[in-house]
Amino acid sequence: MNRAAVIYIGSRVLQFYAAELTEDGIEELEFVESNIALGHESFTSGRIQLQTIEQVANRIKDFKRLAGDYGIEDLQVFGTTALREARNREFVLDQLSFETGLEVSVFEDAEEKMYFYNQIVEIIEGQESFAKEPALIAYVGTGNIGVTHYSGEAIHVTQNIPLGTLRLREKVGDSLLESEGFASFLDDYLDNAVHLFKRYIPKEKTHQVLVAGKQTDLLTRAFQLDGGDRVVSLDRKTFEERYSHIKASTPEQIVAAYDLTYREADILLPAMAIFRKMLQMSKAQTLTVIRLRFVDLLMNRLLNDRSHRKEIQDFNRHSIASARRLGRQYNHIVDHAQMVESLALQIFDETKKVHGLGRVDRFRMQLAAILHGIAGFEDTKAYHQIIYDMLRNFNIVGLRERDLLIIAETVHKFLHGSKEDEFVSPSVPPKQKTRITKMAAILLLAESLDQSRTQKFQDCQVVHKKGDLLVKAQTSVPYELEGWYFDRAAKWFNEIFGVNPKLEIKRGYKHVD
Amino acid sequence: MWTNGTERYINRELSWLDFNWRVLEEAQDRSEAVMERLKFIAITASNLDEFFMVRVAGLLDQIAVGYDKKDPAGLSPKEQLEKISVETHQMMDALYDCLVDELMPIMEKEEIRYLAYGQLSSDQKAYADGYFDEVVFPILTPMAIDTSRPFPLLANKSLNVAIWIAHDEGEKFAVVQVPTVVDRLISLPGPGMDHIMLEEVIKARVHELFGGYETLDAYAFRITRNGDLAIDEDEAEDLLIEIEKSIKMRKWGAPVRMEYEAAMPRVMVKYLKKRLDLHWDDIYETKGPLDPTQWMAVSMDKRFRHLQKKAMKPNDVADFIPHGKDVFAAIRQGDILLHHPYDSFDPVVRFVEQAATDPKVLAIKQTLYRVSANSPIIKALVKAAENGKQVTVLVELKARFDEENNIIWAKRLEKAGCHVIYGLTGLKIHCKTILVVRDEEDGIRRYVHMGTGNYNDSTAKLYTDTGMFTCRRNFAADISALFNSLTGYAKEPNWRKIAAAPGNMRRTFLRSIENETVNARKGVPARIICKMNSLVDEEIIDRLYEASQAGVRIDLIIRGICCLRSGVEGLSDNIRVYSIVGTFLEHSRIYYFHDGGGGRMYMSSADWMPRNLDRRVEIMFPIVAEDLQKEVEQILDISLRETVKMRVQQPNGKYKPVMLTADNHFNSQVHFHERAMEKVRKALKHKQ
Repeated sequence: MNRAAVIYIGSRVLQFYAAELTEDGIEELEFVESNIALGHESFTSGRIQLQTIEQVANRIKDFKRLAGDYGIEDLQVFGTTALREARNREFVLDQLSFETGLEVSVFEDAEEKMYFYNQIVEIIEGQESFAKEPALIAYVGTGNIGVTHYSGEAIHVTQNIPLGTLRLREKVGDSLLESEGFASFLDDYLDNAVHLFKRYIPKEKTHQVLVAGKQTDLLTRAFQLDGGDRVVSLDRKTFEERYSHIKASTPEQIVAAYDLTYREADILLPAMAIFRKMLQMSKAQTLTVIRLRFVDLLMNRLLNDRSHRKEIQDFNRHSIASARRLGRQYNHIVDHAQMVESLALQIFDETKKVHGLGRVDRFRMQLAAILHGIAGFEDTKAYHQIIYDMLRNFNIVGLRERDLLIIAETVHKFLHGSKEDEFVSPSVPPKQKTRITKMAAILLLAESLDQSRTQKFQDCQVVHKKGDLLVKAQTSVPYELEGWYFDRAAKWFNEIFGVNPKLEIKRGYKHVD
Repeated sequence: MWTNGTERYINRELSWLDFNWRVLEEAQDRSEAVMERLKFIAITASNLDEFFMVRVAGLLDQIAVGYDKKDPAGLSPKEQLEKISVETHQMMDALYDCLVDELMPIMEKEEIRYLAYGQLSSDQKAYADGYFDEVVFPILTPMAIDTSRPFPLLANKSLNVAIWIAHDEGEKFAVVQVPTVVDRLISLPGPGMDHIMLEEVIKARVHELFGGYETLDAYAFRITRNGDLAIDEDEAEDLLIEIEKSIKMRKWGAPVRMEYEAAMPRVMVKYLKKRLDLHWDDIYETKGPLDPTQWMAVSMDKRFRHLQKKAMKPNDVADFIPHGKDVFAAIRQGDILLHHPYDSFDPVVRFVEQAATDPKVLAIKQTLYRVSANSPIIKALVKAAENGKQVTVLVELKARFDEENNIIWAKRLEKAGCHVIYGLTGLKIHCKTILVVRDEEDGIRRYVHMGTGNYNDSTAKLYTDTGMFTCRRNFAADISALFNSLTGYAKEPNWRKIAAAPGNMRRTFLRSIENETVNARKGVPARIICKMNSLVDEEIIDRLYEASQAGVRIDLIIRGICCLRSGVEGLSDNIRVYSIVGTFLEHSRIYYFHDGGGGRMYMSSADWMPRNLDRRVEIMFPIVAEDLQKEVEQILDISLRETVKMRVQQPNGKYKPVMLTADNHFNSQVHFHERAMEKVRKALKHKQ
């Protein structure tokens, strides 16, 4: 059926969205939003109360019925920040599944933001009104803020700040919220949160600020930017005037002036403070609001699988750009990383029929190749552990926890070679262990060819032929070190894949035994 | 005079009584058929019953708790009751004058007689006695009152016979309730159409109930009680159960009125007054048979067809004719406006019936406020649920005086598998709308009906109402969102096309009036024409006064209560208030705003009353199709051309009929009926 329904469990709202795919694209059938207090409980006590779980379950049952109005039996439930961060998350998910008969998939933060960033970049690159120039992009949720910088080609830096509007409100409490100093507190608090990120933003070159996320609705409604358009804007001067007015107003005055509820009035100032911080980090004269609903992105994933897959692939370039920037930041040798990346990909592609790994593995291996040589600091003890920890904790746009785990484990295994058969984390899924080992073996073989970090080989070509993997290259310098490492790596490679790697070097230079 | 704030408004109770006078005037209209006049006698009386049960009872409650705040017209509850009593006594006298002195003699000429026991022939007496012995006597319960037996609780609107009985030990008072399980009017044998009323037979034979006693006097009386339900919705765990309990209590609310037959001795009246704890103001002597609501059945009796007004039967709806029975196909061609009862209500019933059996229909959602006893819509909804459709029904259990009926069929719907929702705490769901979700070749299409009147196929033949069918996406999304909001799935959305109470409806009306005011001030043509049942809301009245002062020409066609005072110099010079009371009960609500020439028009389930705008769930929907807009303009224009059944409000708040001349007779209801017939003729011709 070309019809689907999704339920999105957010921090403050539960959304139901039913749509169908027609010749004109995805057409909305029903969109329903209902208030819940998940975020409040999750962000303050860390636990979601049983009563709230019941409320959510009952509402999901209502939504199931609503889906039935459109003949939709299969509906999918997704959750984000509030569920993700609840300490009793597993219990909550189990209860919801038991009560409703539906499994709830919880998005990781990076995954959630990836959907938004991808759409925004698509808008920047696809609409004439936008310059393909550096832009600051912010996704402001109720639980956290994601800020990224788009270089004009790709997103290369990103940061997650666990400080959404609702979280901020819950964190500071009513007394500070009501105080006159709240605006100045907010300003300093946000400054502190983005001070590292700011370093990587070329402020003078950044003339565009685009914001998206739940809280942007508040802005468009309060300032009546509601033309029904997907992209609306507010000039910086007007924004500053409105900000000054709101800063000086009580919630009661905000309710009266902007036709908001008290709950909304409470979070309008934090939301604006975040947007303002974005403007301050740039030279933009306009704040552009991109009106995107998470459920639209989810629906696209359900109804438009092909387009969704393409979107994911498109997004990989941002992750790669982001990884390259991190590599540079953490002292990897750029040329070495590039050579290893290129060779690893060639080996991967050439041995596809042998290793059976997929598109996602290739992407993860590529990132492992880019980042395998970071943390080349002097006097580093426990290097392997440091690099592993760094890789697990990097903020690479679009990468989920499990992506980072696999990349870190791949690099770790690569560093230990075939001697080490253990994994650092006990949470590596059994199915992934073999994949990690295979990727590490490919990486080791690729890396062996630039052991001296001097890129001795040119025109490298990899050919898989009759049980051999021929690595053809040219060089004008001795390459004994690489040869020795290659043989070691080839042995392990052969054990894993049953393919025998051989080095074929041209121009008369010969490998000496 | 009006600037002190007290006379800007007309008291709503007195305005309502003015309306009921207009209803009574229809009974007094000698140009009308006698049975039509009799019908209006019954309507006047029935209206008064409800007025006492709700409005008078409410004022008495206010006095009882010491609430003494003046209303916007400057009257305290006590002052209002005093004025009401004067008016209602005059009205009852006028009603009985008309009934006894005019209508009964006309009926008598036609050999339709209502006799006292003493007037019966011997055959008729024998028949009446036999009827009493066999049918009535076994179900009578005599209740004597003495020190050990207190004054009995007599049910609301019950007819009773008060009796003085004497014994060796002295006199006693006794009461017999006239049973409601048998017909009150007993047809008697004989050459004409003679009848006797049940209480007359009981009075004549009452001595047989009190063996050993002498019956001194027996006279009929009727009491009316406070009939407003008091439900603590916040505390009610199950609204259905709470309302069931309250209905039982309604029978026993405090007495608010007693009517008695004129021959009852003063001492008996005094006794009853004391026992019922009433004031003299609450007591009404009648010079004819008690409870004139009984005449409704007589007015519709098929035996008296020759004395009845020629019926204007509903017509087929022209827009549906080319599509045969396929309601959905017709709606797909464009929005369809229905003007009942000139246009038949059948398409609305068919809409639900077709949805119930159409394999492409996935879901039906409907609000229900008042439905007929044997509603085809309920049957269709049950059938739909049985056919596996998802059926959601929002039943308003608090629909006054229909609660009992609503509970019965709500349970029936639930049993059939419908998802039944019983209203919202603190709000009555008064909007009238149906949503049908259909899975068509090119995707989901939602069909919507929105109306100004109830989904009641019986009253749809008697009330003028308007409704619209559409399958426009924005309307469908709004109505879908409305149901989601009412079923508690979601908060109130930002409406795309409609406005809803208690959300943005008041604001939308106020802005529309203000818009005309602004236009008038700028010299842009400005005009407001609205048709509704009641105008009570102070805020809206004030904005209308402002608009009038700015030069906006305002025509208000208000059937019932109107607290606005029209035509007052300096206050409301440009406002005219008209009231049409005719064969059909004017019930449609249409709101037209000139909007600089664009003409913005809405239909709604709401009147301009605080209860509609603040305490009920209502919708107003714009008419967007050009052909329908023209039709709405014509409906208003034709209504304003009315002369025969129209009264015009005077600055003093009283209403005067339009002066009829030889060539200005125009009856809008007759015109609408003929117009609908003509449309059907054209459509049929076109089809051929």
